[in-house]
Amino acid sequence: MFYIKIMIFLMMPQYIFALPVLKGKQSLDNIRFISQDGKFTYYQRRSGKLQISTNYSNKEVLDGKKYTQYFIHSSPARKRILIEKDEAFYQEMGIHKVNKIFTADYGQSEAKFVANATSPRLHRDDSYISLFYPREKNIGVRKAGDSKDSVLIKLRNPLNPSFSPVVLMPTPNDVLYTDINKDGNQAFLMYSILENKMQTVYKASYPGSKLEGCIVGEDLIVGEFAQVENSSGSKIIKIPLFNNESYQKMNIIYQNQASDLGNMLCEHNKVFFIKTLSYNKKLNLKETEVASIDLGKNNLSIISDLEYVTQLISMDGMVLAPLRGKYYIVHGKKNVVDDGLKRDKNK
Amino acid sequence: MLSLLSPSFAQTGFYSNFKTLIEIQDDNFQKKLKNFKSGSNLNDLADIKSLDLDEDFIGSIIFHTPSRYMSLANIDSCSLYDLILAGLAKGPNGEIQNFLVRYRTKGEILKTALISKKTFYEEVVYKRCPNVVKFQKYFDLKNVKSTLKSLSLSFPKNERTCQAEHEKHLNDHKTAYLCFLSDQVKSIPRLEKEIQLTPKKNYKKLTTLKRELRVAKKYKSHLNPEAIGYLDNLCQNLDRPKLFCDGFFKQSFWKKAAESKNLEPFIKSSCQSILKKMNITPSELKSCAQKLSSQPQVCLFSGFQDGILTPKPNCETLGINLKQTTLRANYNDCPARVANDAVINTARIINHFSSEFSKTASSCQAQTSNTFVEFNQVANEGRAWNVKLCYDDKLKATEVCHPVIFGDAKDSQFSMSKVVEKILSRTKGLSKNQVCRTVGSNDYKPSLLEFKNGCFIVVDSQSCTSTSCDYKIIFDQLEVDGIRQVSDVKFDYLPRDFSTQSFSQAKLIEKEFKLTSKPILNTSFLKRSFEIHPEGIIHGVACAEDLLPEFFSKKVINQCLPIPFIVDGFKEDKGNYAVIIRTARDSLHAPRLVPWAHLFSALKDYQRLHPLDYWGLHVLY
Repeated sequence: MFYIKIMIFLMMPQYIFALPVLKGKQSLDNIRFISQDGKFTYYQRRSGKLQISTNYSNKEVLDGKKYTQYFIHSSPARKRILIEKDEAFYQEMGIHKVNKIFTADYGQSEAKFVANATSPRLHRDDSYISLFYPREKNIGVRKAGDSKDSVLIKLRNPLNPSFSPVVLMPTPNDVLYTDINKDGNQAFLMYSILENKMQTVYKASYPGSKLEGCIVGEDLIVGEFAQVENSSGSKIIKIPLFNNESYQKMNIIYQNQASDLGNMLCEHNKVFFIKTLSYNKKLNLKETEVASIDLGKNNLSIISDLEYVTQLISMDGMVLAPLRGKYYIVHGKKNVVDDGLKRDKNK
Repeated sequence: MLSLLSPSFAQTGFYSNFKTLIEIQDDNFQKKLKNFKSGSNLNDLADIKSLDLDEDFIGSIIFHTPSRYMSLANIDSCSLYDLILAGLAKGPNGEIQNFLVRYRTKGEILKTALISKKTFYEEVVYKRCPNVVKFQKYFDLKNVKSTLKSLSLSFPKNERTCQAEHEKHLNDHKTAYLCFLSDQVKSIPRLEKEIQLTPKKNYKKLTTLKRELRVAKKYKSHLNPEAIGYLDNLCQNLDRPKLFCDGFFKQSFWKKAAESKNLEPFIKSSCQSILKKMNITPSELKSCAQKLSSQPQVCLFSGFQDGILTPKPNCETLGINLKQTTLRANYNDCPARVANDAVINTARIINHFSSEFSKTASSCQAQTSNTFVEFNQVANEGRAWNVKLCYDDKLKATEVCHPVIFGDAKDSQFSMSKVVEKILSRTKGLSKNQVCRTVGSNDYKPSLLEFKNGCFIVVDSQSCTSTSCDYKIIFDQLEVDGIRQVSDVKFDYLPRDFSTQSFSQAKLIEKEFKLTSKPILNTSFLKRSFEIHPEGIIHGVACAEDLLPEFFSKKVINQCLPIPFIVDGFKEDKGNYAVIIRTARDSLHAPRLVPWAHLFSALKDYQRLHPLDYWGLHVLY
């Protein structure tokens, strides 16, 4: 039987406002990654090149067709980065589209091809990579140096061709991922590589709710958020991944009758997510702000005053809230980030 | 100016005063109740005729019972008991469990006593109103099925007969019990939610809730969707005959769609997945429409077989959005099977402005591909469509390629069978009167006589999209090799740079249909565009993560998943706006409501990454 302990039900949030804005010495539109200490920046040119600049040098990382777009994925381990190269950003749009994925050492310029896939993610101290192959609906997992996936997991998902799973690795032998069943319920499933076995860790209470997740210590933090307006509301749950038979023990750490946007991430023992403060049903318009839950103190804080913030991203220890071309620093180094590069006059 | 309200009344307002009134009444009644102990058995009652309900008790019922049900209490002296038995009449604590009564005792004393519901019904109601016993039995779980068989709820033919029908229900003792059934059905989602939210350790409450849910579901199983809709309309509008009739004559979008050939595509694919069958009769469609009207959640995943972004909006929101939409959409398309967002969006716009390029096809994706290819052939000599079947022409010593769609469209030179015939006539001597037949891999049985001779294109339809397909060509039982598939569909939907902008689909559409295109930069222009050009549509490309943040997450800086879309309506509320939008991944028949704030952010982010700093929102008219 499930053992659900409600820790935070209705919490009085603390409010913190006026967030600093991320700045660089060149246009943020070209920047693809800035280290928190400002020592290096990956940026791209319209010519199709991806480059890295430091205080003293400027090196090419990858070259591509004109107008190639690059996206750089990192992790708190800071050992490696994953580069997504999209050579047909403006000319090809579709559910089966894959990009070229490369890997490079953190702060370095030498990049190695990994695969044609989407949703690349680093795991376990940057020693594993997971990828998603949308046409085949397969999740691939491999060691960071390998040229092939050692694990392939096929999703069921009969309902949403645009679905991209959340993939996590609590141990080198276990892959946690999300899938959708025929009724529209998302679930976190645990695939044991050694035993070739699957186990359900958590199933969403309502069809049409999305699941998000991250691993903090030995716990899985699951966010359940409604994708369309219904009566399901939102909740964030902590599930111990060890010494928890059939994952029956779980603590609800946050619950809200309103449908929060979610887009949750975990940094520094905190859970950050987009919370809905008010809802205009007539326009489907939500007033949304960045909220965080301190997992140690179990207190909820509203961090932003941006009104319509919708997304959160993590970059080298910083949590950023993008809105209309600006990146607000929600968490991390608060002073203006200096990418250490003088204005490039050739651009 | 003379105020009609006293200053204090005006300050506190009607609601506040009414609330106070209820509180005072409740206080008085509770104080009165304290003087009596429940459990009196009426042993000292002299004559049943002398017994009356206490006035404050009646007052309390009137205050706490939803006003629409009170009209059912006025049929005769027994009707209030039906109402209580059906659970529609309420007291201060919800369902009425005890009755405060006044009567004359055998010693001729006027006495007030509190008696249980059971005693009151057995000793008083069943004697005074024997029909109440009958009705209660008719509608209990054992008998409700046979009772409902003998009842018929007829849909009124016109507004006049509708009013009469409503009046008839108001004077019928059974109506209270019918509303009890409606209440049971409506309680299901609430009970399911309560069960989800109740901790497992609270097993007593959980058991009760589960039992209530079981009963409610049992009642529901005896009602068909039409009856559920009818009863819901009746019981919600017992005191509002006009609204009751509006429910029939000002139909929901779904009911209208089920009756209109033109609107049928809006409902058909949803009903195909709900009813789990492809061929739907008109009566099944009507019953499905009833379901869509009364159960909003069934729309979330309906029509998924077309490969659409799910969950869709619920049926209620969808019905409202569809009432305002102007995009021509009386056909079906299947985004994931086409698997190219720009092809889908372009085809939708082409079909809006002209039916010339839309041809019946063997599959949904073939129809969309053919619309796109035929339009591009006329507008741009087919440059955007680089899907071809190629072979080596040994006579000319060169590679020859023919553009193709994976499927057959009526009279289309791009149909796969036509293209294969063309190639085989050149390479294998296929005669002019021989044709190639496309068959699904499951239907191809080489042992059957019909497949012994001739040309067959055996297609694995599950794997086919608009740009790639697994197939085999069989000619006289032998597999044909040497025909290669080339597929590299990359084209500009919006202008990308100055030198090639005239070849973008946006510009080709403007030119071919002689349309005016203007950028929409703000909500005033959005509003004005739809007011001046009601048949116009707005289209563009924006970042999916900002447009639909519930579905697409950003993970890294400057991330953007470009997604084309069409806007064909808007809503306004206190100076804020939302647009009615279909992204290319949405069902053609399931527009979403997206706030302008999200659309603006999504456009701004795409503009920041665009080589021409292009604003991706234009009205076409």
